[in-house]
Amino acid sequence: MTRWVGAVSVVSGRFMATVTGRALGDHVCWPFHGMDEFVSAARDYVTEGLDRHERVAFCKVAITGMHRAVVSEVTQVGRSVSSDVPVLTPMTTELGWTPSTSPIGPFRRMTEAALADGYTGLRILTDATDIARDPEMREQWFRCEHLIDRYGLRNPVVVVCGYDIQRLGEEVVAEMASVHAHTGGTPCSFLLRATDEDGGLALSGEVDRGSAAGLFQALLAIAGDTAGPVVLDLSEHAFIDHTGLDALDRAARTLGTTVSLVGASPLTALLVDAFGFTGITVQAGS
Amino acid sequence: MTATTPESSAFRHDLVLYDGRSQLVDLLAPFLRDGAAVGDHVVVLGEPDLVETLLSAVPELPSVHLMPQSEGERYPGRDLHRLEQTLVRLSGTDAGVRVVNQMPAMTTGRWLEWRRYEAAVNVVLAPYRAWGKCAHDVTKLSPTMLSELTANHPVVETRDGRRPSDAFDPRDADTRDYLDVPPHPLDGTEPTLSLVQPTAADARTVVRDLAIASGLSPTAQESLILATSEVVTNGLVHGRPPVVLRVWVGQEGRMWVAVSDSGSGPPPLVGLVRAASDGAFGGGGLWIVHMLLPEVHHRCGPEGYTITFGVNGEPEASTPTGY
Repeated sequence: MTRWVGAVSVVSGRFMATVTGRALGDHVCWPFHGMDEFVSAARDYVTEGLDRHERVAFCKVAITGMHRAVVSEVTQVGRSVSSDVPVLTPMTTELGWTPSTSPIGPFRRMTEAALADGYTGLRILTDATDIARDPEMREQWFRCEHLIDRYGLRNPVVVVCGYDIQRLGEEVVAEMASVHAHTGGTPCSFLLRATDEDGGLALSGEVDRGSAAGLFQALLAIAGDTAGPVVLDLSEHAFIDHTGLDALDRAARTLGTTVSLVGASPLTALLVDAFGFTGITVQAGS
Repeated sequence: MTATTPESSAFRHDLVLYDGRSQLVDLLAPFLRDGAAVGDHVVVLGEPDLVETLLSAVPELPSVHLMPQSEGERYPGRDLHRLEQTLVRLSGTDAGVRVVNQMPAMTTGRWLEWRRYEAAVNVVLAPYRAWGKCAHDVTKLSPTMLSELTANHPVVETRDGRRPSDAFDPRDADTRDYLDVPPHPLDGTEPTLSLVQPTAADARTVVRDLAIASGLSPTAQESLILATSEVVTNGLVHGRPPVVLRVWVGQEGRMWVAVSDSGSGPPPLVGLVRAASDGAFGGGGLWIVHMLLPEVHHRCGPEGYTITFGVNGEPEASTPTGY
């Protein structure tokens, strides 16, 4: 996925221009400007899923719960006058789910039902703009996004998560985008994605003074329950300067753990050593 | 470290002026011998063959830490950091520490940063109970260099003996205008590329593209990109707009970067004395630039502040081990 250029990668393939070309396992943030733009992307995404015989569903994630609709024809994608969802079919509400609980239960049930019904996998489009507007709920959902990222690693799902920049502002979208394995455009400078189901993480993109605080907050939000050191893979040649390493160090010490870097460049190892970041270890041979 | 009086905890910083190799050995060997007699740790920096000669002249040293390096490989920021790291390691014991440091032969180009180094030693190493001697080849020093050196060393030693330096100024580091120097030779030349008020990410992108195109080694690329990023960030945060980035691509994989702003510039020992964190993440961006790059040039002038730095195609491997 990554474009290798000498010592570092610049714009990794994780920052994408089109919503299509998806594979099962993908977890993508899709920032959009207003519902018309979202509907247009949704049509392309839905068409690709139907062509591949995937079950396609739209989920609106709101403070009131998760509302969803299965889409079986692309003509069902559109903007109705009376509602703020990109589908024209009636929505049902996921019973028993609240934003403070993991979304994996409902996602797993939907995946299993799709496979049982003979589909090749499950393709979900979400709009989480509503929940992200509430600062407290956003924190909960941030963690949920990471759990979805993990779930995608071993399950036949592809999830594209819509966030409306017009309603949320660029800063909030940048924050939410940072815990996806991929994103449309470059709303954020780095992506912190899951690499295994035990809390392993990998960094892509760039962390500097402008984004170090975001990395700190992201780690605190998603690495709190990891047993043992938090493994962070840098082998996609992410750029991380001393402010980013300081953020990792402080997050590790706040969480009472260490961050163990894998695939770090010799220069990154030198920075860790020179600054004496005791919350960070660099795995040998990386 | 044992409980010490203020005198014994202070770093002692002597200037040794020598003319010729045998004089250098004659001046340093007794100092090491006395150290051996009282059980001090000894740290020796200098040309590999000098380090060897000193060792054979004083074979009885109980605890010796050798940092042999030829002068072309040395640069002030990294030397100072390595020395400090060594003193940190040795500070856990009761024994004192003696350091002899054969300084690189001074040239006009090298001097600007090494004179800042000599001033920074008084600040950075002040907390350590150690006695250091900086040995300069007097035949390579201009009268100005000599006068600057006597101002930042409290004691001068020659073959005629040791004496307090009358010119020593303990406030040297605060008062001297170390950055009031002529512009870098590239300053008046046309750069390969320039950008006005770039973000750090913009600056990384253009330097990365040029570094790749000019065939710089991966290590050199990575160092130059990081340094550019740190310096532009610093200009945007602490300087006065406009921040201007200029890049020159030279022959054989050499590249230089200059970053200017119209402000009054940083403190005189910038990059050698590590800046305190301002509460945001990080702190020490320019310090790490001096750790990574052999060639750094600072200038404050009426037009503002400019920092210029460069790499050649194959800088030394930057690894955390080996110091």
